[in-house]
Amino acid sequence: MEALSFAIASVFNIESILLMILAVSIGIVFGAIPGLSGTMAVALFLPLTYNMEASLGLSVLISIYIGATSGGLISAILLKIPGTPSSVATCFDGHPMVDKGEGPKALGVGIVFSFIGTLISIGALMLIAPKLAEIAIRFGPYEYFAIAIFSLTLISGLSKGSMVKGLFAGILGIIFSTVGIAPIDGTIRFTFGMTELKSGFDTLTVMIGFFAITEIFKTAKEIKNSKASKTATVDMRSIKGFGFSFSEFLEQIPNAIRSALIGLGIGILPGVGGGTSNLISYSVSKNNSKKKELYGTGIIDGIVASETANNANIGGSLIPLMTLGVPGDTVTAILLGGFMIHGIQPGPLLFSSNINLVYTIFLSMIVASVFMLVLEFYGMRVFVKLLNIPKHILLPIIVVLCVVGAFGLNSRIFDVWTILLFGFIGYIFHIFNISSTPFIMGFILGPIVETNFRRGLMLSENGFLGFLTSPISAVFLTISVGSIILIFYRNYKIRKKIYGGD
Amino acid sequence: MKRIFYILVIVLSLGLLSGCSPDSGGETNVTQNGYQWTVKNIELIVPANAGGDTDFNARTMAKYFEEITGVKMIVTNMAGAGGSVATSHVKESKPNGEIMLFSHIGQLVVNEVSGLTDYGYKDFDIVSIPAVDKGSVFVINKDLNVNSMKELIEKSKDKEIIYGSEFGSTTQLQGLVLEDTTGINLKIIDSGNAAERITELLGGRIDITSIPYGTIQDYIQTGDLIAIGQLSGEGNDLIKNVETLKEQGYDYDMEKPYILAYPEGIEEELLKETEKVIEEIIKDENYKKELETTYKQPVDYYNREDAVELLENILTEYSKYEDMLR
Repeated sequence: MEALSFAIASVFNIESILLMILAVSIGIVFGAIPGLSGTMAVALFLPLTYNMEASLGLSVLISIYIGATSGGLISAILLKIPGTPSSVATCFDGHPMVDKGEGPKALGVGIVFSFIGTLISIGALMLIAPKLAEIAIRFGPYEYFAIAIFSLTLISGLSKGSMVKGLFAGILGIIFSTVGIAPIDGTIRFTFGMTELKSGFDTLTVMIGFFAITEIFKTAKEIKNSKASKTATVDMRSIKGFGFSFSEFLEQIPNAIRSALIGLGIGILPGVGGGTSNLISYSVSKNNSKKKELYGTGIIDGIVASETANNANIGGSLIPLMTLGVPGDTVTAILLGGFMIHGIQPGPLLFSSNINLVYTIFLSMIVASVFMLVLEFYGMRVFVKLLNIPKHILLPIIVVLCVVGAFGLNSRIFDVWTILLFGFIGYIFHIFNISSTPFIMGFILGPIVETNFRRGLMLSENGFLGFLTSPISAVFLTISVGSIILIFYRNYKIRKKIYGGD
Repeated sequence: MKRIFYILVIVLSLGLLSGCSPDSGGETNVTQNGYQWTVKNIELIVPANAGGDTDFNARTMAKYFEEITGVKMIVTNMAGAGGSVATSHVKESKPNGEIMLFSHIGQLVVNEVSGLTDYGYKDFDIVSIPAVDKGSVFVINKDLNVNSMKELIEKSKDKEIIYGSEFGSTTQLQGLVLEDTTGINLKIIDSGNAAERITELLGGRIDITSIPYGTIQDYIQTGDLIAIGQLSGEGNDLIKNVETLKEQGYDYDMEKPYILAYPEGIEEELLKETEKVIEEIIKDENYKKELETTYKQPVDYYNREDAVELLENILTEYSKYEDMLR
């Protein structure tokens, strides 16, 4: 077909190939460095693409996005610090695997399944995008509310140890998310007169604080008490291929497909971002697995769930952008600007009026994914060398990068103080053995729950029935209530067993 | 281990040294009329994220500004708190010519009326209104079986028409003014930003909203959405196919002027020279083309005096709705 040959010509020439390799590499670097994120990388490079041809410019930006989403796994696994918000769940099983000496395997699994996740979502984008977009349209306030509530119930699965502590963390997260201007009516909450607090706390600063700064505090304490200065030892010599066997690969396929679907689904919804897909996928994977107690000790299932989902999110969030003209997350919102600067307004006619561009984007996504796979594969040996840098040199560098990342968000020092604040809170959590993940989930989902609850009520004149009459909403709410009841029931049975009958 | 340490020290020192190098421009920047720009860089603060219409207008203006004066204009995005993070930052900055604000009436007028900020455009030194967004139209879903604003108003007599807006912003005001000037029976609810409102409209959960034409032009072509009126009173020739509400007989005129401003207390000469540069920019053919291509935006301009007058009128007009916005 004509469009396909146009696409092949656009993508497979020296300039494009070199630029895309560069773009994927830059993306991986931004993704791997805690503090710097994919959103920042795309925003920084957006102006540089203004003078490029439309298809090249967009291919470059999407390549950065793909590289960055995947790059987060590198530091998540090797340093226990997620490089981007989409790799938080990868830390849970990634780093324990390094401790067990299975570092290369963890990396290999992460890289391969990032690739698979991206491919699955590209497939969806290419083949069934319009249909998926139609589903996305059906999601309004009732449905978003229900999904957010459902996601919150998954928190219990994510908190290690006491469920009460998990709930506490989750609710605290929700409370922190209320700081600033309230949605809809604009009331100012919890700002204590500080103007900077008016915009509330940014998710990225919470994440950097809780996962990077806390980790650094923890390490700082340990280092004083131990002689070990290396982050971990990873033996790359005896690794063949990606470090895991074909049979293990096959075993993970169902997990991967389910995770990809979750990532795709969350990507399609314009109101929910990519930071949640890895966490939700991880919880669902854990809850439905026969080896659920092993999650968190270092099994590849956890990494597969997280990485497949976050990369599937990419294609997912491009679907509403390219079929409806509505961005699916923060990065695609910037990509929308990238389209418009070339005079192209994405919408339902994009596929018919700009078919050449569309096919070029598809093809370049596939090519970029392959580059990502190859670059990370060869990079594995290099990444691992990072671990040889003594912690007391590596971690301060990371702190600097986190500060840069925090400042880069909105060009103000306040965000830097914020990461310290959350690092401190995270450390206190650590001392009291409270899991941080529920906090993050509460923080991200809180606003979604509140905003959509209020909008839903506005729509239905303060009646609650609307939430139940919408089929999608009703389903998710029922599952949520059901799973809460199930949790209490299970706890009840366990306590009965422990304390004996009667 | 010691080796790595030394390498790091060298790398860091190199980094520090390069940061200390003197600015490359030895020559001062002179414009066509002979004015000497002494400031090397100007930070242009934009109260919105990269990729949107405000950001686009700011960056385009910055590009031409640099071409004409040689002064580098660095765009810094400071989204947050409805734009008040950016505006308060500029307000509290020194008026030394090194920082400017590129916003629109939402941040400098509506925020004051709604009470989000306790300051407004009067607390800045306005340079001019370098551009105006005239691209918004009222759109409805085809399933409403209505083809014009008149028919919609008729229909609203039986049942409220649900108007989706973003509370506290210009879109909410647009709805309030629509009610006032046409007598339409609206239920104004919060539906979020443009992207969210499009989704709500397509899903049939809201009946009408205001959206930049460019964003939904595909839908107009497919017929899924119908544009029943331009918000601009003057009308945007680039979207001639949609009648303005004024043409349809309603006294409605709501455009979105962008505002360029310095912090209060700027030197008078600098202010005048900046104004002159903007006047040069808007005459540039390429500038005009860029605006049209990307946002179907015709070039429009108000010099300092006219801008202040316009803003005063808008403030008075919007203050009528103060109670509803707070």
